[in-house]
Parts: sequence; C-alpha cells; structure tokens
Amino acid sequence: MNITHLVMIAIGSIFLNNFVLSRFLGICPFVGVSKKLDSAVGMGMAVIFVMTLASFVTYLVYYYVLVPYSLEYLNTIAFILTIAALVQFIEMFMKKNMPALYSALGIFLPLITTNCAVLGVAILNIDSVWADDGTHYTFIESIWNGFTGGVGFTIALVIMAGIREKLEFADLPESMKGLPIAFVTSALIAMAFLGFSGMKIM
Amino acid sequence: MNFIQNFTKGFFKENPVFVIGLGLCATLAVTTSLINAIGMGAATTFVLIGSSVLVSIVKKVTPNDIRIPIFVVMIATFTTIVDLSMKAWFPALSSSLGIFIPLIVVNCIILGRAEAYAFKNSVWDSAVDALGMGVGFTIALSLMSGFREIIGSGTFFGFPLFGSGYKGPLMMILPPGGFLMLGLILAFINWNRLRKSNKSGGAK
Amino acid sequence: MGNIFKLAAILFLVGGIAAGSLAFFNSFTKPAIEKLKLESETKAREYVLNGLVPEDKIKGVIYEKDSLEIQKGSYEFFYKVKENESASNHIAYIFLAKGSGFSGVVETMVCTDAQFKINRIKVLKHTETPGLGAEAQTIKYGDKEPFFETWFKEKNSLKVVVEKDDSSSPDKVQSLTGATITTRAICKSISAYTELVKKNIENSVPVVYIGDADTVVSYDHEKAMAQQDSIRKANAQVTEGGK
Repeated sequence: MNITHLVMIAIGSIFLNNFVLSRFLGICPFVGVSKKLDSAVGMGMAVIFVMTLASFVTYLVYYYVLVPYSLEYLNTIAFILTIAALVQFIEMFMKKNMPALYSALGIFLPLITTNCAVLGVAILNIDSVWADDGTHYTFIESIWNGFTGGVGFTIALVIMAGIREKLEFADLPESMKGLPIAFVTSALIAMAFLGFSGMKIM
Repeated sequence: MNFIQNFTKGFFKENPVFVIGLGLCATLAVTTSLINAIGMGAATTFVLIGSSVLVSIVKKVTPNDIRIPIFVVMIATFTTIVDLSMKAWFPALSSSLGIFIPLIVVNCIILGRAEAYAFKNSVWDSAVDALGMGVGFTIALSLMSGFREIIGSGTFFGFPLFGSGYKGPLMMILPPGGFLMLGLILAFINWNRLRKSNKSGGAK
Repeated sequence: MGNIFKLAAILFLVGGIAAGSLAFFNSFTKPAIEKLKLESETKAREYVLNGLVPEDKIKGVIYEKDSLEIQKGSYEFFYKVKENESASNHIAYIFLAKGSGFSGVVETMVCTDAQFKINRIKVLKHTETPGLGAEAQTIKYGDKEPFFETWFKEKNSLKVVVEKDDSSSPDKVQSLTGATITTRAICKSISAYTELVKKNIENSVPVVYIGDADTVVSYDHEKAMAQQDSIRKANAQVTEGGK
C-alpha cells in the first residue's frame, strides 16, 4: 500500500481538484441543496457514502467483468446501471434496517443516482494514471478516491450552505437573488480553493 | 403546439440551462472555448434526439415500473456511440472534452426530456422537441464560452481578437470564471424578466 | 414475484440489445482508434526528427529501440536513429522526457543529434494551467510551430537550463510568463533523460532489437537483459582470448 499515493489522492480530491469547485462534478445538488446547513450536511453524508460504495463496486465490475472479456467500451452502461442498482438497494436496506439514518439521508439518495460526481469518480478511478510509475489506481486507492472526493464535495457544500444562510438576510438587487448570487459566491469559493494549486507532497 | 413553437421553445423560453436549470455540470466545465462548447452541444444533441426518438418508439411496450432503468440504458448506449465515434474520428475534441462525454449520460436534460415529453408524445414531436432542446443547450454553451473565451484568452474560435500579446483576466477560463459567468448571465436574465413585467405591470 | 422476474427479464433483454449494438459499433471504431494511436506516436517522432533528415528520406529512417533505466527496475524506451539500413552511425536520438510540472506530469518528445544538440522538441502531454504552463503548446496566429519549442533549438540537451537558474549559460531558455515551474520541469527532464541516454550510449552494448517506425514490437525485459548479458560475456571472452 503506497501511503504517498493515498496522501496525494486525499489532498488532490479535497483541495487541489475539488470535485465541485474545480472539476465541476455534482453542481446540481450543490446549488439545489445548499440553502440550509442541515440538509447540506445530510446530502454530503449521503454523497460520501454513495461515492465510496460506487467506487468499490465499479472497480470490481470493470476489472473482473469488463476487462477479462475485452468489453471496456461498455463501461458507461455498466457503471450507470451498477450505480442505479446500488442506490436502489441502499435505499431499500436503509428503509428497513436503519430507519433513523434513512430519515436523515434517505430522501437525497434518489437524487444521487444522476449525480455527475458519482459516475465521474467511477470513470476517474479507471482513467487516472500515476505520474511516477504509470500504474492505474489500485482497489484501495479507488475507494479512497471516492471517499475523499465525497469529503471534498461535502466541505464545499457546507461552506456554500453557511454563506447562503447568511445571504438570506443580505440586501441584494432583485435580479441577483437566488441562483445568480449562489453562483457568484461559488466563484469566490472556487477562487479561494485555486490558492491550493501547486501544493506538492514530495 | 405546432412545429415551429415546439422547435423553438427550447431556444429561449424553456432554455434547458438558463430557465429549467439542467445540465449545469457540462455548462461550467466545457465552456472554456467556443469549439469545445459547440462540440459538446452537438454530441449532447445527438444523444438527446436518439434517445427521445427511441423512447417514443417503444413507449407503448415499456413497462411503467422499470421505465427509468430502460431509459438510462438507451441513453447510455447512445452516449457510448458518441464517445467511441469521437475517439475514432475527432480525437482532439475528445481529449479536450475529457470525461464530460461519458458524463452526457447523467446530463439531467436527456433523462428529463425522455421522462417529461418523449414518453408521452409522438415520435415526430419528440424528435422536434429534442432537437430544439439540443439547440437551446448549444446556444447556452456558446453564450457562456463566447464570453469566457473572448475575455479570458482574447480569441474567438482560436482567432486572436486583440493582438497576440493579449493577457486578459485568466480567471475567466479557470473554474471561478465559469461560476461567475453563469451567475452574471442568470442575473441578467432575471433583470430582463423583471424589467419586462414591471413595464407591463406598471402600464397605466 | 412473477412480475419481478418478468421486469428483470425485460431489463436484461434491453441490456443485451444495447450491448450487442455497441459491440457491433465498436468493431468499426476500434481499428480507427488503434491506428490513430500508432499514427500519433510515429508522427511525433517524425515531427521532432524533421530538419535533421531531409523530408524525402524521413520515411526510410531506421529506429533502433533501446531501454533506459529510469530507476532500479523501472525501464522506458528511447530511439537511436539511423539514416537508412546500411548506415553505420546513428544520426539522432529520440526520447520522451517526463517531469513533474506545476499540476502534473509534462511529457516532452526530444530529438537530439549524436552530439546532444537539440534538433526539435514537442510537448506532447501536460495538465498545466491554460494561459500559463499550457502556453508551451500554443502556436501564435501566423506561426507554424509553438514559440516555446523554437527556444530549445540548437541548445545542448545535457545542459539546457532555465534563464532564471543560470543566466550565464549558453544553453539557457527563457521561461514562460508566469510558468517558471513548468519551464524548469521541462528543462530538468530533458537534461536528466539525456544523461540516461548518454550512459546507455557509453556502455555501448549491442542493441536489443531493431524495427522500423511502424512495427510495434513487444519488449520482454528478462529476455532482453539475458541477451545483453550473453553478448557482454561473449565480448569479454573474445578480448581475453585475444591476449
């Protein structure tokens, strides 16, 4: 297990290439759910959960089903069906066995199926190649990438929700209210995160 | 709704990006240059038309309970066709658009139109609606990328407008610029709408 | 229960049709994609070789593939170029220099003559910031090649360095505006890889295999090293036998 790689993935997915602010994956829930802090945290938790599990399952599907039969070009279909089925099962399982958790996260789960971030991280895990030795992400690295990607998403979401709650009381021009100011705020947060670029571990 | 109305509603009145608010991921990510925007718009329109037509053809025999997974499989098939075609015949565009080509499958516009329109309307109407929405999406992308490219790189389709020494606000072609541009365009649309309703409301 | 099976069966059928039609489509695009990949590698090599070899002779050039030991146990390739089958000397070396830039790896294809004077470079892959490091690939309107590449022509590839790091060197290259790190990464990778090429040339062992630009030969490292070892042993015996 290459600890350096894991640290690089963590710093990369949370700060340098934040899934929302830098890669533009997961914008729909980002602007849709960031109005209140509680729902933002709930959505964030759900996304971390789904992204980690999706990375787990799609890795197995790709390397143990698609690659051995030379069916790599079917990865889009395979991944999206896997993710949809996964979310469906998680929802059913949670409803029956973890009602408390379901009431906190459950409503967000169907929204996550078409979330670019989940399919995005699955594809990124397959496509990414390490600069220093030319290998693809290993199983552990893929799952870790899913987890830290979700954490980065949640951090950005929570920051947005905090700011938007305060913006409710601001005196804005009528045309800026709602989505426009949300995007301008995101621009400023994204600019702040740009400051992380160039960070090197080694 | 007649043909012209059906076709053009996607351009401005029901523009999928600015009015309905779908397909935002792609709008922010690929609008760093006009060529990318138009390429993405064309790819998405192809998938949109293909999937809407197919959904409309099989709408009578599709079981209602599993219609969403079936739509998703069809959309994913067209997306893969576009992905493979671009890798083989438009490799430069394929590498600039990157993962956003396979991400067309989760572009809310496509599933949204399939569910809201194609499943309930004739094949011809669905095709026209899909084409209109696709063109509307491309218009939105082009508007975003036009501004971002002109202000950020000083070029238009790669052709330098302000001389080759132009060093404009680089921020516009970096991620914050995408958010900023979208926010400003949405604000402008709101302002325009309010101005029109004030005019008609305030008329005595 | 029966209903679920029926629904699952329909979904399975749809999936099967989709997979089948994609397999059919894939059979058209796969050869085109493979060909493109091969073409781009050959094109890159011919691009950087341009100038050292006259245009009409460039297709007849022979590329000898050899290995570079980047780190213990980790190998990459480089090419020694001969003008044609019957030539005895190498006229050029082509290698792909890789270095860590600002936000990722920068891959540069370099062609030098036998004295390590750079003929041409081409930045092939990078993930640098548009407008800053990415300017390494920009062709200004009206020019034929990226301005960044012209700065490297004629420089000594062993000693190429960024102007900021050594302003007295004759092989200095000015840095891209706001992208010193990218420029430095490229310079350092070129000089580092040239060192490795030089080491390989000096420990001159007969080449592992020979092919022209279009042949994709698979490289068996164990076999190749065993081959080199046996050639070395044979040479040593000859020298001793001659005493």
